[in-house]
Amino acid sequence: MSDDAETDGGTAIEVTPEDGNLVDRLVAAKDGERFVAVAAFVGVFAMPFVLIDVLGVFDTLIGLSLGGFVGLPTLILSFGIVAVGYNLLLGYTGLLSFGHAALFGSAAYAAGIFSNNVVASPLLAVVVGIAVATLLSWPIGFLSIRRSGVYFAVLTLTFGQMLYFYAFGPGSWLTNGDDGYTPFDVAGGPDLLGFLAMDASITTLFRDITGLTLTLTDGLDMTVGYMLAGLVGVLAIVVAHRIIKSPYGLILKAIGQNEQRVAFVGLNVFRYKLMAFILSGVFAGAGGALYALSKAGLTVHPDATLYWVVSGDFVIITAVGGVGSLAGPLIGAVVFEYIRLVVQGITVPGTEFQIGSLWRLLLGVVFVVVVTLFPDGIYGGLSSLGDRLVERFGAATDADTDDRRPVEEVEETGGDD
Amino acid sequence: MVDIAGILLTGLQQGAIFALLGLGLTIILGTMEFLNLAHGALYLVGAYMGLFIVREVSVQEGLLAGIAGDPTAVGLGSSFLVALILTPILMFVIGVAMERFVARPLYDRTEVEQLLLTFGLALIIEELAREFVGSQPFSSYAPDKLLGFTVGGQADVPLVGLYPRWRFVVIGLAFLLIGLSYLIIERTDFGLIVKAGTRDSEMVRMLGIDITRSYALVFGVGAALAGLAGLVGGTIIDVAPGIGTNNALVPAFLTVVIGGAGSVVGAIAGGIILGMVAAVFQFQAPQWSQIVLFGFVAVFLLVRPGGLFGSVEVGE
Amino acid sequence: MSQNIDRRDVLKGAGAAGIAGLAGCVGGESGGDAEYPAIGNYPVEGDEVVLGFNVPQSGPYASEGNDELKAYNLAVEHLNNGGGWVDMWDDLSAGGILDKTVISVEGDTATTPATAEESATQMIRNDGAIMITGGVSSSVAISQQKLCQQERVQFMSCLTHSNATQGADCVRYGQREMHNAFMTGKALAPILVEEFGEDLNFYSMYADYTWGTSNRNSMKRFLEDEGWTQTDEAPTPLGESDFSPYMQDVPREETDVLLLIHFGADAANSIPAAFDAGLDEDMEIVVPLYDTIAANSASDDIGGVYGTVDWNWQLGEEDEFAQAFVDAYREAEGGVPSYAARLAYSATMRYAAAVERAETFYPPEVIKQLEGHEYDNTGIGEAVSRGCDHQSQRDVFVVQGREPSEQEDGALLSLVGTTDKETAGYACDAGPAANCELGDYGEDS
Repeated sequence: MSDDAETDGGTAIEVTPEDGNLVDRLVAAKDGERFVAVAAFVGVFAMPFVLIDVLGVFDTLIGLSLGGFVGLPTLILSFGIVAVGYNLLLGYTGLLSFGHAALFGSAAYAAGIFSNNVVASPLLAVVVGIAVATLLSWPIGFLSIRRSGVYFAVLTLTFGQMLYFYAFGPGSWLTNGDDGYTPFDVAGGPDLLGFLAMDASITTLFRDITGLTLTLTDGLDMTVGYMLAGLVGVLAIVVAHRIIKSPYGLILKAIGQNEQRVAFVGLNVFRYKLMAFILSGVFAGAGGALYALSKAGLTVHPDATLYWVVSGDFVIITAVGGVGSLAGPLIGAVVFEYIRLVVQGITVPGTEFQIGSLWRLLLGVVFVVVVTLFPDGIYGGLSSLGDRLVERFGAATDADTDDRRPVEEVEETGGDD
Repeated sequence: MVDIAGILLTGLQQGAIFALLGLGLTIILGTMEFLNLAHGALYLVGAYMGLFIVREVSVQEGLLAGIAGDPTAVGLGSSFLVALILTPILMFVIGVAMERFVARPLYDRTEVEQLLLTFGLALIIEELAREFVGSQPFSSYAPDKLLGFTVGGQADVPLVGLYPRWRFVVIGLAFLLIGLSYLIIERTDFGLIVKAGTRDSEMVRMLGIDITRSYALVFGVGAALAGLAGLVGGTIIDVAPGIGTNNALVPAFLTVVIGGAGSVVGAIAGGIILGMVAAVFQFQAPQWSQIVLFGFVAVFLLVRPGGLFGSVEVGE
Repeated sequence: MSQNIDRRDVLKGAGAAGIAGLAGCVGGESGGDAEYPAIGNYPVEGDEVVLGFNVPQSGPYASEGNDELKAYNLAVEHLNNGGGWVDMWDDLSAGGILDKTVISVEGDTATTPATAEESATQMIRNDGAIMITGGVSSSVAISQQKLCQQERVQFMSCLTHSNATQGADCVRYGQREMHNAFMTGKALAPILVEEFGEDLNFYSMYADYTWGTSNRNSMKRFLEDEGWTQTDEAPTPLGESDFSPYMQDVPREETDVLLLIHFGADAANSIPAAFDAGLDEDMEIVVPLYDTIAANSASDDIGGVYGTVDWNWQLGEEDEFAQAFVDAYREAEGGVPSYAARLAYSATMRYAAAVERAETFYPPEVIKQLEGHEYDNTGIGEAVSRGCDHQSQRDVFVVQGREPSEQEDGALLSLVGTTDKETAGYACDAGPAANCELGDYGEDS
């Protein structure tokens, strides 16, 4: 995690800290890798506090249960990581895959099966999940990329559905079918490095070591499991940032904009597209493995991991959050999971009326509104708002703000979660 | 084991419905290069429309039950023939409205935005159905009599043995509708525009044809076809809010890509091929039938890019 | 408060002691009726207690989920303000549970285990639910009770019929009152033989996944024990909507009885398909587990069809508790309750009564009150909530569908027989119970 992004990227316009005022300096810094890493770190580790404690205040004050639950941030992260990788494919290379559930789900099952049959190590499970998803994304990508547009989408869909139905039926010996698979089915739950229980939290660790009582709110009292997921998340964001800023990322973006032009230059478009697909598979694998970890002792089910609707969820998360930006998919994951899991449980204060099954209706309305009003997603909307503020408060408007389209924007991770 | 004739009949009947679905989707896709993920929702609306025209059902959940008291009997209880006339007309109107208010603002947006918006719309339609009539499934509404003929019960057919009469009607009806659509597309000005549009929509525009009006027409016809598929499907399987997504959307897309996006003949052939493949494996190895079906589509697309009769690669 | 051991040692091998429950780390650990250590969402602070009702509000079983929800709300109403069984049970009285007002939170399981777990997690961790109940379909029940075992929160199963629920996947914190596939087989086989005759041939059509295969196995085993012969079997894919082709495949001459092992939307489609194919004229049709969705949706085509149910509202004629529930439901909601509703109502009441008997919400004590508890006040006759596998040993009711002309007032089924719990039940080392290891109470170790 060194700050050598500029050396291999060469895209970020270098503005030395001496130039301009604070706003300009921040704008300039926001493409730097160190900034991305710090912002990702802050965003990821502040998220539980915001979701659980800050929003939870409404619960105590006016009885409106807007607060998330412990465990929600982990789910957000695992979907968010998938979406960050998916965005490399959709947002940059312009390939619309409807089969990423296959990669996500296979990783979740692989991590789970590994944990029960080989060793219940979270770290190794993440490695195995990534490996399986990567290995699987190679043939799926290799075959699907031969076709484009709706044919590509349908091809990826067919591979995903084949895996889904396999896991449901003939593969039950491996996946336990409709009854669901229990990853990390070990007494006492999984632990990290042999001694750190994954669900031990900061306060329990603190008391364990020092014998003193530390009082923290639910959101700050993160578990070892969340910290691991958070670190994987930060790493994923930094890696994605580096990919985007590398010449590789530029080529992917160029393919997304005009495939033929890239081919004319003499580059092997197929190879780059395949690489984008495999890269997105790596992220899907990490997300899937983290998902399996969050389901330790519980259930991984084909409907929630391999079904094509899950692939659709990734599309939705990415597009609602903001295609073509690093932060967009993460914001999308927060919004999506929040509506899915928290909003559905909200009871309108003073009435008996609970949102309940209406959450799906709400989700549909949110898509339609966001996609209609903000073609570049929530992040696109926010960042154009941000641009206006910068124009207003920044001393010098630098050259690239004018022709900068939200698609090419990168960063300000997590801070606005 | 079911004999071959039985499998063929089942495949033909499933395929006919797939073809109706695919036909509607493919003309919209071909003419406007518009990817409509709400196509399944149109099927759903058609199925409910049929239900409430043909039957008088007791609605026990949802807003409809609340409005009309308990237990609510909703529906016209009319004949299937009435549904057969009313459904496409109403669906046509819905389709035209959809073109105007949903599709038109999206023509120059990206494929992903079209997919997202129409997927959002599909979700909204499905959930509205749930809110209004509840989640309860209503049993299929195949009539016993049609035009004075008995269409219920079993017919003893040579080679096949006993086979439900209504299934024959479904096959006949679906092919009648498919044939009609084919004639319209082949023989009328409207069809000319559709055909030209599926080949080269820019050219049509350059020729000075009011493409927006034609678009509305095409969308209306596409919606009417989806609705008819829903109406026919609703005589075979239960009507519930999930059928649009589960039973219609994916088959419609598979049909279209097998046949070739934008190809009318392709949609018909693609539907029948899919129906046959599904029918064969459904009996031999039920757990594998879906896997084989999707595998078949994958192999087909790899071997025959652009489908059977594909001319346009959408999205390039 | 220093010797509270959580379910897991945080630093394994360090021999560390004195770790408070993970969920209750935000101060205030000394509140409540502190005679027991904190565990799960115990102690219950304040003057309210939260119950979590996690039912399918979307997905294929939403109809049943909604009926469960009605009954849950009725139960809350009765617990707080009196009425229904609260007025009839010695253990219960109006004014809540242990004088704490009962409030409820609802969740949508969407009929998938993963979503059910997530909404249950929200209820446990965010809303502080002391008990979770609800669900249709076994995989959803199993996943929720695994979570509840981890979280030390009581789970009362609602509609789940798979052998695994309190068999191979049983947990200490789970309880099931509904009968299972094994009991269905044991109960139904003798009655079918009595009704239809000896030495018959049966044909089994089943949904090709775990619930379907376990039912097929149970039916086959017990019918063959009775001397019947299975001629053939036909698996159908889960979610199949068109059963007509499968019906064509049933050999009419040699089949005397057709078993349709389908549930929910599958059954709603398969029963009419059998009638459409005219199979009812050539053979008897049996649906081992009837469900309300299927019966309602297929109401034109259930005349004469046998099956088992958890309960039927007509039992009110012979059971005062059943009658009281039917009356209360009818008054509040109109119409008659399904058995899903009874299961929901009963689960809530049984939990509340166990808490009152234990005089604490402390989960291990509540569980001990449920274990081995004999009762006859839930509208299903005498039953015992067995200690060895937490599966209620109870009577199983066999019903027959009514002809459309005889269906009135929502009465679609007639009760034709009751298999008593000694006949339908099984020993702790037999059947599904043989595979059950309940797990720990989570008390001090």
